Amino acid sequence: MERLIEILEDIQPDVDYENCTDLIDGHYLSSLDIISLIAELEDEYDITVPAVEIVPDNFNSAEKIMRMIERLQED
Amino acid sequence: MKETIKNTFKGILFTLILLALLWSVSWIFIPRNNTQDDWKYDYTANGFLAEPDNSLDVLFLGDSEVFSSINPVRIWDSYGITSYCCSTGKQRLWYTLEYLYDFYKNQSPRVVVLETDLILKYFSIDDLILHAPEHYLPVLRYHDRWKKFSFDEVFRTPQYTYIDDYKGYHFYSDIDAADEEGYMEKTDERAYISKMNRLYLNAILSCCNRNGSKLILLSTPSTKNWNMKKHNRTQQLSEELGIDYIDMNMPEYSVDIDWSKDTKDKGDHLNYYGAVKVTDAIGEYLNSLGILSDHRNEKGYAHWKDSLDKLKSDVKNKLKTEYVSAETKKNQKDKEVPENG
Amino acid sequence: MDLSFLLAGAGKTMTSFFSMTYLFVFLPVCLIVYAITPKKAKKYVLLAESLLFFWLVSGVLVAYLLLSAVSIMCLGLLIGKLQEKQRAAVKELPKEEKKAVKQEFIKKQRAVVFLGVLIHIGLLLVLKYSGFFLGNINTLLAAFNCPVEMYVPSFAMPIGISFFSLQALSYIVDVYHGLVKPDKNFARLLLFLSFFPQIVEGPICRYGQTASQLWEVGSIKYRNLTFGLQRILYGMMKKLVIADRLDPLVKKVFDEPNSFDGGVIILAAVCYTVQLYMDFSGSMDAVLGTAEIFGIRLPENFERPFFSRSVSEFWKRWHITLGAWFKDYIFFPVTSAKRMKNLTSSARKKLGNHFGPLVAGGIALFCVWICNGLWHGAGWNFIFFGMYHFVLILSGNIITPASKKVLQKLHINASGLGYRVFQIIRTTILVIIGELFFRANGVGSGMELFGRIFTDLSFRSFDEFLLPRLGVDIFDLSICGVTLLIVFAVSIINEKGVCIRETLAKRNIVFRWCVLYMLILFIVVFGAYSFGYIPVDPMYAQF
Repeated sequence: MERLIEILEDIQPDVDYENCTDLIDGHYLSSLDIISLIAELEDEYDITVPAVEIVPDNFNSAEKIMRMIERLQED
Repeated sequence: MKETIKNTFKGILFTLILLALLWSVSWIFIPRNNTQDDWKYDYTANGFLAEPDNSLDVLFLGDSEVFSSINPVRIWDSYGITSYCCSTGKQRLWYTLEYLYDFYKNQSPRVVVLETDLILKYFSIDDLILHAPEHYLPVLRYHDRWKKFSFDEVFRTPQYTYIDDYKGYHFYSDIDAADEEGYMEKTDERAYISKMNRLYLNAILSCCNRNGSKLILLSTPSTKNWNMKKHNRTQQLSEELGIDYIDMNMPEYSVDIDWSKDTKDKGDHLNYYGAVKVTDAIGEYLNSLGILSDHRNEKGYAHWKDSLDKLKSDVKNKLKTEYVSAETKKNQKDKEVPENG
Repeated sequence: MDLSFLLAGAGKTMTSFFSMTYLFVFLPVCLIVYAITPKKAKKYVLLAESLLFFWLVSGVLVAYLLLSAVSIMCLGLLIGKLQEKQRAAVKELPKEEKKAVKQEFIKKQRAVVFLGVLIHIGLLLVLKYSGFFLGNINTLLAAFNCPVEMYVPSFAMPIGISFFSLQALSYIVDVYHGLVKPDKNFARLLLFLSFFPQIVEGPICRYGQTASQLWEVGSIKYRNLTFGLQRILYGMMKKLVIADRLDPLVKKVFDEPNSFDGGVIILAAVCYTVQLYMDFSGSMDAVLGTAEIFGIRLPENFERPFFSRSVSEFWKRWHITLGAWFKDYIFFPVTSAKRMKNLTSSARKKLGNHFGPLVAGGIALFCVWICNGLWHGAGWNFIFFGMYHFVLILSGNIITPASKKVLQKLHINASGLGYRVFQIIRTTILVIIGELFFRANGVGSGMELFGRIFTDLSFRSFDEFLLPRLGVDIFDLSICGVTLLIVFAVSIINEKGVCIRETLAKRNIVFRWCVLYMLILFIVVFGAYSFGYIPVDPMYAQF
């Protein structure tokens, strides 16, 4: 989790990732930020994030992103 | 169920109060006079409001074809017949009917002449829904007068003081020749008339009948707005309704429009020269009916003489020629014929 | 009997939800018929009303809608079949073989999706764009003195084709992705495509958002009715009082790009952006309000876009459903493609973590904005409009690290109010420039207008003749200003998360009714309609 938040801070600082639950719906992360994030995640966690997983519900909070990563790792 | 009834009642009450509100605020917006400043739109057509009661014997209704081609002052000059053009740009039948109703409030015309250009012109249901309630809730028509709002006016009753010198006629001096190609080309086809237009035409006719006026259909010359298809349809309509129809686009009326000189915008509308020809023809026709009296020497018609003076001076200033009355014109023509023959 | 009216459609004016026929005839009749139908049949009534509406505005072209619905139903079911077979086939297989078999099936499914795309985009290409492309080819041929000239066809386009085509495509892709189950019910699918409030100007809905809602419609609730009508009224105020009133001014300046100095052009550009926003968001209020009466919640299309701090944020809050569609069905699929991912990882090694992903992202962004531009219309100015935003958004991302450093050095608090206001104003100016090119009659005309702002920035034509020349008066501009303040106040309240209609509903009936009467009288008196005004078609209906 800590590593994930580091990655997020690297992409877009000035956001309270511990508590924010509307990263997408609150317009904190742009589409291009998401691309960076996905590239980073795929490297870091050795997963592939297919297009169908890229929905606000998977990216709205650090916790949700983590859950998605875990799910994709199991696949 | 009980809830539904309660809510329906609420809805009805809301609407009723709303209508009452609109009706009462309408008073603020009704024009207090018929001057250009007060009325803003179509003020020349509304000049009849200031004419003495029951002083106008003929009413011309129609779109811009009428105010560009019929000059009531000239008819007065020739025959002493008083008439008025309630014609507005792009007029549609719903608006025509409004003018007719308004006109009968203070006038009792013997003859109503309806120009046919608008009879076949389409108007949308939208126009109807928008404009029909205006009769009862004038705020819908005059709401734009908030721009002229003043407190003094709110407590004043309307008083109409603007008398239109030309009685609704518009003086055009420009010349822009028309292309006559295909104009009134022969065909047996008939133009389309919508059901709604037919209904309105019937309403206009029955309003005239109720008030004892003779309704006449008139097509003024125009290469752009008139053709054989429209003529055929109008001819058929006039026969169905049993009313007279004069089509000045047809050769038998010998209006002799010179399309290189008598139009102001390539055959769309006539200019002064064209209007003189149409006016003389319609004047002669009206006179031949034998039901219209000559008011030239009667009391209370002095302002018509002022109008005629204004027309004469305008002709002199704008066209640099002398005003030629119908009578002089006729005499000149009569003289010409033997010379040529 | 003359039956040609059956082909033509009888209510063309109804494309505007503020037209008299729609507001006072079609909608009330629809609601009454709907209300008195037994519950089980309501959905069919809704479908019938939707098809009737489409026929009224488009006539025989309703065939395109039916064609689209039939095609996506068949293709959807086909994909569903393939998925079932795939599941059955891989069930017993060992893990290594699973992947290969899966790939085989996915290939087939992709072919079906491709067929769906071909049908819809192909139809759009032919109907909407063939004239533009062939016209350009002809210009090109003429430039090379080639004597060949191609025939440039022009087709009658059904209203709303740009909107329902996107909905149809999203359904097929969603089925392919397994997000929704293929629908066996043709009526439901057709209703999803054709629901009458949204067919003309959107919002562009997803199957998962509205299909089941539409199929489970119930009776009209009093609260929904009042809330819906209130929202329609609010939209009517935006459209009739502001947007339509500014129309003559905007038209005049954009039609005569050479006759005004820079000051007037700035005024007209601002007015056009205001007009477009009020027209489109007002229409959306009418659409969402109407849907609300039926108890349907459509996705919002606007979220107070002029409070955005960047252009990219602006496009998440303006015409939201279009932006979201491009994001989900173009941007992410493009960036998730295998080759793009490889590109991203190699670029990251060379350019670093920030700039690396921007290569693939930039390509995807380019695709999105070329599509966005073209979606609005077949014209170079729309392509220019798209490219303008592409450059703005991409460069915004490229300079992010640099601008952060600058801010830190200058000790500017990036989350402070002052900086926020600066960002909002900057975004608004950039948007207004974009809309100037969007509205201009061609790129050349847009360049002329934009250039004049710099080469001829003077206010010498601001004299007593200016406003009459522009076809407005000082009262028009004043009332627009006052009404904009009302909209602004409402926006701020909404931004704080307060729903005005709910607050109002809690007050007593006298207060409530007084507010509504005031709003109605405001529209009746200050609206730009009837004498002296020409009704303005909804601006997004033509796209």
